[in-house]
Amino acid sequence: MPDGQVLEFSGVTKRFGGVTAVDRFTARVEPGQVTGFLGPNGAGKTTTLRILLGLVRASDGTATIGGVSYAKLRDPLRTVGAVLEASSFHPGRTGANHLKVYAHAAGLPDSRVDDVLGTVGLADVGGRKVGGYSLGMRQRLGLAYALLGDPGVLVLDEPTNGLDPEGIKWMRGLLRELARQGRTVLVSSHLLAEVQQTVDSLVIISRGRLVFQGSLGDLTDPSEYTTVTDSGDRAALASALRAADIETEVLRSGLVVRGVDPASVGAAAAAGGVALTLLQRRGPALEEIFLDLVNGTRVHASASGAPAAEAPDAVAAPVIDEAAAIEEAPVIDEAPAEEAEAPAAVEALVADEALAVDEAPVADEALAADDAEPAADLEFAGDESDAPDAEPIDRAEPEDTEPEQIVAVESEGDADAAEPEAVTNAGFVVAGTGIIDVVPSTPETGQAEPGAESSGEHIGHDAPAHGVFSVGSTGETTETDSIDIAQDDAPHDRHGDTPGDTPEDESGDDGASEASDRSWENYVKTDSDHEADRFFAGFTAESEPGFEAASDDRDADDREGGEHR
Amino acid sequence: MSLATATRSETTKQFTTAMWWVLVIILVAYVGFTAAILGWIFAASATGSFAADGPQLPADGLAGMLYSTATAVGYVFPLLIGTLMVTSEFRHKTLTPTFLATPRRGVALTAKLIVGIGLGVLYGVVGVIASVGASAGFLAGFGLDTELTSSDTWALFGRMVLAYVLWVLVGLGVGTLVRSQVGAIVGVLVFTQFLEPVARAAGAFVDGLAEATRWLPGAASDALVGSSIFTGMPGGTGGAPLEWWVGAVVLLGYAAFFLVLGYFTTWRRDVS
Repeated sequence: MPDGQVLEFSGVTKRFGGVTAVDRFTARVEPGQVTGFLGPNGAGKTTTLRILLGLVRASDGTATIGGVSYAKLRDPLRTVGAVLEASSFHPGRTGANHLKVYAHAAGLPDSRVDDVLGTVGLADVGGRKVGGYSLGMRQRLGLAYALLGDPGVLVLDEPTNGLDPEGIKWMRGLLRELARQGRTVLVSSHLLAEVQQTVDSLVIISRGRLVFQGSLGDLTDPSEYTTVTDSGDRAALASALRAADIETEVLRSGLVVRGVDPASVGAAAAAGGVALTLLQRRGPALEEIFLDLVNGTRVHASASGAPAAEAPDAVAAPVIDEAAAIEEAPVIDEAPAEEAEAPAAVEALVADEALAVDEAPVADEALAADDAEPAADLEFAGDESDAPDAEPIDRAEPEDTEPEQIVAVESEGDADAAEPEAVTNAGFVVAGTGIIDVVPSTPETGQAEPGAESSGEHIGHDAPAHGVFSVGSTGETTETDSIDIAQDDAPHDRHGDTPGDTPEDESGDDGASEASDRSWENYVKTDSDHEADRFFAGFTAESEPGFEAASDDRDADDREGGEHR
Repeated sequence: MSLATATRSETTKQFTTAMWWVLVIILVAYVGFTAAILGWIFAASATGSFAADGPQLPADGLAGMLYSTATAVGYVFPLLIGTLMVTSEFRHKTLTPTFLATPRRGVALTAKLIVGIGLGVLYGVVGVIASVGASAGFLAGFGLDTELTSSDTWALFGRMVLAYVLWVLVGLGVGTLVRSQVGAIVGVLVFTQFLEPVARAAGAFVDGLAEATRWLPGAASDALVGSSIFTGMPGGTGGAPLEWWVGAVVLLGYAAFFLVLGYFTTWRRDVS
């Protein structure tokens, strides 16, 4: 078996006319591990991979495999196996013959064809024409092609597209096994969740630039983790922890402890004789960090030439982070108009948020919030500018609704000057489970990731958190009365330029968020896309029209599957 | 990889889809049918079987004219084969795996040329058999000389096969240049079945035009073969045909022109 080679990108740049698809991309991919190559659609992933494989000529820079450019490889297929797209087949050729063509090109014996067909689970259908293959079968055939020469390097561009969950699991196992054998495995995806379980290290690209390179662990800061605990007798738990000198904040879902590991929390509870119902370590969702990196709101040291200029303020401090997020929402302008009509209502609401944010740490108030009906929470978040809707909230905690507590985050102008205590205090812990909690912020906690919810019940459950960011980012959804929609739309406001990177959309309420489910349709084509379109315009006319659509659907399915995992 | 493996791969590629044998069937049917009809009419006409007082075709050179149906009307087949060899790769995006397996694109194209030459010989032989088989039967049936024992006739067959080979190369050039399968097929059919026949027909009547039309690829091909239904007819179209070898060079020139142009404009482009 050939050894894995180091893949090295050095200042790779590709310009299509005036558009720079890949911009001084420098990265190194090591053998013996699975490296995820992540980025939103249109970030330049495919172009970069094609440059590596000699299919696209770089405008500048070099991409080498073991120090040699692809064109100079002595035995390309025995060195590098690549899966680029699921449609590079002549429909009238059988799967086995397709492989035989390239086995001959690489001087490989015909027996390899049967070997790899068996490896990818197509042994039974090798004699059938590719035209009758499903997308998943084509994807497997593409992988079989990559494995033909038993190469030391595998480059896979979105290999799980079109695979069913079982196939995805199988693919993961295969990639891990190949890496364990010492091969270099580079697998691209636009979904962190999809590769999260497979990859050892990550290379993240956004707008053609490297924004992160390192291990999955490097992505998160240990200080961003919190421990969430709960008990049937919350007050007892709180006092037990207090007795152990552990500071807690009480939230709807439990008590949040920062900077203390779960073991100590559990020990403290045991010392106090409290039976726990929940003890969980939570970190910020990787997906959220991924989105922030891709947005430019978070800059990692591993990125050379990161797009800091795009959001200079945003990286300065989390407060501004929040403000920047608000500014990014184009529809926020709507809010001030309504706000003029019912300023009191807005104030009341915001006051309530301020309360939730500011005073959540105080146990009894949070418990009061606990008592609020879910319906009230929903209305509260969805229609923050409506006077009538404000009332249920007031009902929940009338005594706390004092005008001076107003946090004026209802418009971007105010948001910039938002009372720092409110916003700085407002951080969000977005757990992998999709539950959002409000916690006092540390510098690392940026804005919450609205799309992280995977179900409406979580939303109702953690309404205070939603209230805060729905003010910031869902101004346009005031006419709706469903929090799901508000949350689903939010990513578009904030990440409208990179719709493909908001896969959480798909996991939302399918019926209500039809538009956001198909977010990639809003994707603005880059010049490279146009170039590619022109390039293939003549041939796509005859290719099965349903195929692309099917691919997209499967794509969505995959992402949903990935999200719920 | 080397040119040898690339050529082997290309050969496998051509014979693992239905295209090659479908085209063989159509070629045999088309050329055979045309040669049979013409063979019957010409043979009957030359022997005066149709009408004793009607115009009589000279029996001289009749066999060659009938045999050359394979190139005179069948040359579109090698042209299409060459074109499809390239455009199907663009259409099905198989250029990606092809170039991954053979990153040196000049080698990949050269392999196609080598296989194209082989296919040209194959189709040429098939075409000759189809036209000779169909027309010789009628010649013999009407008691005319089939000339199959003449070395000139066998030289004619050789030039016909050479014409097929050159047409495949022209097709490869056209495919490389045009890329679009539909566009290339339509273009090839329009030019060979409409534009050039019309131009050559007009050349027979317009002074000086024949000077130009004899350089057209179809005319060059007929010149190479040395016999054609178009030039062999009494008062046939076209001026003085080119020497056979000049015809070959002209046809090769077309192939080289398209190939070089296609190689530098399209073949070396980014594959995305």
